[in-house]
Amino acid sequence: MSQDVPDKGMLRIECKKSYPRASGSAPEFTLQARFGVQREEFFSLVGPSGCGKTTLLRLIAGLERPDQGRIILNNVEITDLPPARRKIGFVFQDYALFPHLTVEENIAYGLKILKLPSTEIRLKVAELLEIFALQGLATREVDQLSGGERQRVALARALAPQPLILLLDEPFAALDYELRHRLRRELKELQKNLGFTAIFVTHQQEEALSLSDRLAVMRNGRIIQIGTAQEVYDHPQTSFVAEFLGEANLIPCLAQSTPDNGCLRLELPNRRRLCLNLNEDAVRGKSLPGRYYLLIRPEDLVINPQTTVFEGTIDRLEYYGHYTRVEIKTAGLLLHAMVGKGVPGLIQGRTVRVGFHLDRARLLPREADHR
Amino acid sequence: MKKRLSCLLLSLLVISCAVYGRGEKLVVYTYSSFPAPLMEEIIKVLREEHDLTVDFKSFSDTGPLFNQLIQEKGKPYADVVIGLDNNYYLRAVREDLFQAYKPRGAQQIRKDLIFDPEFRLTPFDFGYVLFNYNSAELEQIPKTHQELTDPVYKGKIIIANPMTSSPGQVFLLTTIALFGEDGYLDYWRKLKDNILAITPGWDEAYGMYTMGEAPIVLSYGASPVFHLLYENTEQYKALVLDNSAYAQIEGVGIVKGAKNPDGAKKLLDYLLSTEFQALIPENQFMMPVRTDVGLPESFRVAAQADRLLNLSPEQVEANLERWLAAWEEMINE
Amino acid sequence: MRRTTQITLYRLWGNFRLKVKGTLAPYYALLILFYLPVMMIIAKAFLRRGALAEFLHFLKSPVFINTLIFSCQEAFFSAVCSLLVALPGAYFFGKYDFPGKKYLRSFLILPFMLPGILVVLSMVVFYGQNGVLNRMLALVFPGRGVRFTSLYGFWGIILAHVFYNFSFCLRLLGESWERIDPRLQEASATLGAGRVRTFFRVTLPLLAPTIAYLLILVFLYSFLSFTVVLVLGGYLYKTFEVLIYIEYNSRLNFDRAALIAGGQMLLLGGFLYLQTFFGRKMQKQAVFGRTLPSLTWKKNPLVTALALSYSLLMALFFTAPLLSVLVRSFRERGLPGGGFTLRNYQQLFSDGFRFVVGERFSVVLANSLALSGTVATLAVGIGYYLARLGRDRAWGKKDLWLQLPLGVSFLTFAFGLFLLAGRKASPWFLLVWAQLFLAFPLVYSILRTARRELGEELLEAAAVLGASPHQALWTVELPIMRRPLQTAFAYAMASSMGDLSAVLVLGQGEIVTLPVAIYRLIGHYRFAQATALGAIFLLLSFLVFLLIEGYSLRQAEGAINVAGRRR
Repeated sequence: MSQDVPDKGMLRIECKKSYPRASGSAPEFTLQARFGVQREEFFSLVGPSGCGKTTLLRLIAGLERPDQGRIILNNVEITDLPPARRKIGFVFQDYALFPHLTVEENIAYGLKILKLPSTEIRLKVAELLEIFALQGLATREVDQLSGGERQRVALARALAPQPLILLLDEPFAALDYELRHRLRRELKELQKNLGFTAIFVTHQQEEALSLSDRLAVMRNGRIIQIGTAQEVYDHPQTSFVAEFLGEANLIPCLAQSTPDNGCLRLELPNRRRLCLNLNEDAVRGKSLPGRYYLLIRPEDLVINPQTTVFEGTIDRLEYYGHYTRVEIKTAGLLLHAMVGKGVPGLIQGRTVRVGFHLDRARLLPREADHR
Repeated sequence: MKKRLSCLLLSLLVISCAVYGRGEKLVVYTYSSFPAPLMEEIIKVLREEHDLTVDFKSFSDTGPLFNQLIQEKGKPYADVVIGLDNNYYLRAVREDLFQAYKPRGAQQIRKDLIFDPEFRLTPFDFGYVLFNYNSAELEQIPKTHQELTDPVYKGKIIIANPMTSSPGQVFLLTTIALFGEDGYLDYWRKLKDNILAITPGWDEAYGMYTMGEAPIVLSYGASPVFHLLYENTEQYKALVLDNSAYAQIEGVGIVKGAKNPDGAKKLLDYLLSTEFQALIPENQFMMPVRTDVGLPESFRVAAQADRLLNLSPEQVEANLERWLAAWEEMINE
Repeated sequence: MRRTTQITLYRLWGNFRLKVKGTLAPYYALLILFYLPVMMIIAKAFLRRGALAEFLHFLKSPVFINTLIFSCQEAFFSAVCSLLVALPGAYFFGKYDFPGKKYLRSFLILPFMLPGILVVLSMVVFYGQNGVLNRMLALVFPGRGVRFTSLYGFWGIILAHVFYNFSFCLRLLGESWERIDPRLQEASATLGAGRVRTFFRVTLPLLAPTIAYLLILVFLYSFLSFTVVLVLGGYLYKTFEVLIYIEYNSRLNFDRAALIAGGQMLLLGGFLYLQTFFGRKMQKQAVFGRTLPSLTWKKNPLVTALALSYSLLMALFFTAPLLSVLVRSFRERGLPGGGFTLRNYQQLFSDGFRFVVGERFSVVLANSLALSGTVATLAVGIGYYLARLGRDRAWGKKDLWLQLPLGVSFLTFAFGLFLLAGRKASPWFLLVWAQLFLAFPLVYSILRTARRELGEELLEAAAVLGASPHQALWTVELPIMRRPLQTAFAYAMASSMGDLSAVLVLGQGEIVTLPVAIYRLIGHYRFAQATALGAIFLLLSFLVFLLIEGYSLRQAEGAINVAGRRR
């Protein structure tokens, strides 16, 4: 598959790289990507471990070379540039702070490489120390820092030479829950204030959804879907994306014949038939009749509705305060629902009727290799 | 970890406490290159004939051996010392390290080899310290020491250092015997340019010589005998310059205060017996001191000097320090 | 929550254990063993009338000043040149995997253990005026008189010292390089630094403690050089070891020899003190093991070409001397023109060998192996115990005391020991004692650095998984530390196997090891057999090191990998 570089974006990339697997007999792993990142955008790469996110980041940084393809940054092709000349900032997963330098020396490192006058370096470092609330730690050795402090030093160091784009490789992975949340907010704030472009790698969907302007979902070395958080969440193109971002009820169904007057007829496992209103775009390209998944987000599931689709028993209840998570067993399926306050009759073992907002349901292709 | 450690230490102690030897014991100090076959012969003969257990303790060189004797003066550990040469004689006398004993067979010793008339140190073998050459590599053979300073020999001579080795020291004495106190430094000044290397000991010098690095080396008069015997070649020859040579005479003595003086006397008698004297040439590559013991056929390639250059021990003892210092100063010029 | 509690408990328990069972007794025992003989010498030198005046007089004498200037110059150039020559090799070694690396690792120890006389003879055979190099030059440039004539002189001494030392610099530096986290270099690259600047600003500072240590080590080894300086320096150059030897061996002035030795100790103690400053920084590297990229033509033609040409150069200038001696051992009478023969080897197993050497070959071999095995086991055992005990401390004065033996003339130590206990203990015991002194500083420094870098996290992880401290030691700590332990063991064995002076002084002729046998063969004209024995000595040592180091190397690497990734 040979494609051209996307024509829009500050960073545009189209490349391919293959790796032999550790054990000789297995097929090699191929990473393939094509996308663009806009200026001042916060772009996330998400996907399960081993899907190639970090490698993609390293390709952009120049720490690895693609087998084929091109990478263009600010209309300059950087494919063959060494990392040192790409003007890219990189925050490593465990920060890779220089153990032989102090905090301020770490931050000043890139500036010294730029051969800036020392007064300017001092000013900039002071400024960064202040932005990252590190003033008191300037002369500390890095092995005396806490996790959060290290993380901030790593960020400050990467931002100091004013890179065109900042790459972050799971920078919060090693931090505890609370700290992660705080730093995440700080990072987003900082990105808004300083206005830098960032590519962020994470395997946590929550992180990706809350931080990103746009995100790309990856699997097995390929990008499956790119879009804003809302787009990807609301309009996942595959069941994998649907399940990776947020919770999903995937109900196998049979879609029948061509829809007439915008209504697609579905048959559910419990032989219930539904009529799904779809616009023509959504139907185009789907082979009919065919086997599909009906995606219903838990928050779209309604208990004891006007129109009942399933009947089942409540298997499990988890109370979260502002909502309750309900698991309902029915017709060989386990459905998840998130129910707001004030819904009566939520008692374990009780039989309930279940329905959903049909207008928010999506039809997804059933992938052969799903699960 | 500690337990294993102490086990190890324990086993070491057990090894160290191994007790050996029956019969009366006789401790003999010598230098480490004293030939093993001679030691074995001595051990065998003294056990069989006198029921004596000879325990050899060897030292890296005669210097450390001598130092050890001084350290142990008054309460000596050794009974007999083999291998101190004529140049140690007066120092040993001054330190009063040995007791006199004239072994049986002493009257057969070549007269000019007896450096101690009181027999505190008795000579048991001797050899000339002189140059050897590799006849395959050297075209023009020098006849005199003076000729050796000819520029054709530039970079072709290896000697041992007079400051650190006994052959080197003997060669320094040779030049003093030949050229006198006034002339020897001038001779060395001329010789210096032809010297390739001055090694710390005989080993390095002779090793470099046999490896083909230079064709002339300071060694012993009987060195060619080894090559004849074991390598079947006469390519290496002794170089007797000016028809004369300086002899290194090795002595043996009974330590003053020795625990087993009777055993020690038996050992000295054996060392000067015709049987042992006959073993010396082809084992030690030195010559026997007894006039009535002939040389084996192989010694036809050994050096024979008409004139013995040896300075008197008194002269050496009185001046050696000064001569060495002057030599060192000259060589560093 | 539960996890933290357990860790806290373990820490408390660990510290508790440390205080109760982790006694410093071995440390003080070592100090006593090491410094008692040294004190003997110093006491002998200075506790007599007029000693101080004599010492001051000596300090002002031109002999002292000339010797000091020469020794410093010679040692400085030797150290710098050894490291410069080793640096490219350490780079290839530390950054890449290549076929035969395991063998190279073991091979690199060999020059370190060669007895001085064999080094000199190898140098002479290869670089000498009738050496291999000059004969090759004559072939390449016929009749033009292109010759290598600098062997005898200052630069010849440096050349021999580099020959001696560069290989172990290469290995230790390469191993230190292997441990540098590659992400630090990547971080530097993303911050705009090119390869060269990354090298000078990140890699070099991280290597600096090792480089400083090696510089000091080679400096000391060269400062204490004896045979090489005398043979190649001729009459012009002297080290303090030469002065000591002359006083002790020729002038029979023991007091003065001790005086000079004492002075030298003070001087080198000062140099070693410098090391504490570098040592302090040594803790900061992270343990990072990884599978290195393999060096192949396809992937990295330029680096491969460079690595090959470097190896070729090293082989030509530093392996060739060894090889040419090996070749001589197969020649008739060891002569360059002699025909090929196995006679020199056959004679080693004949009665002739026993007559010259005094022992059968098998006994000599067993002695060497038993002695060096004991010394290495003790040195590594005690060294690791102390390294473990000090894992929370930065490099400090306590460690310095264990490094000071490096600054003591070994010959002097052996004399001191003989003076102290020569008649009271068996020569075996004394030899182990002396060689422990010889091997310990390097062993300790290797283990100390490595143990400090390991940190506690992995042991804590093991503890959380239910391992007792004892189990954690055997299942986690020691497997991860296998590489440094192997290196330390191999070097301890090498220094013991290669030692000649202690065996000569303390063995009193009762203990014959391989170097003593070589020395005796040479002392009795058997040069060809000596080179053959030298060849066997090297081959056997090589095999022993392979055995020590080849032992489940892969497994150890795997363990370290996990360590690297866990962080």
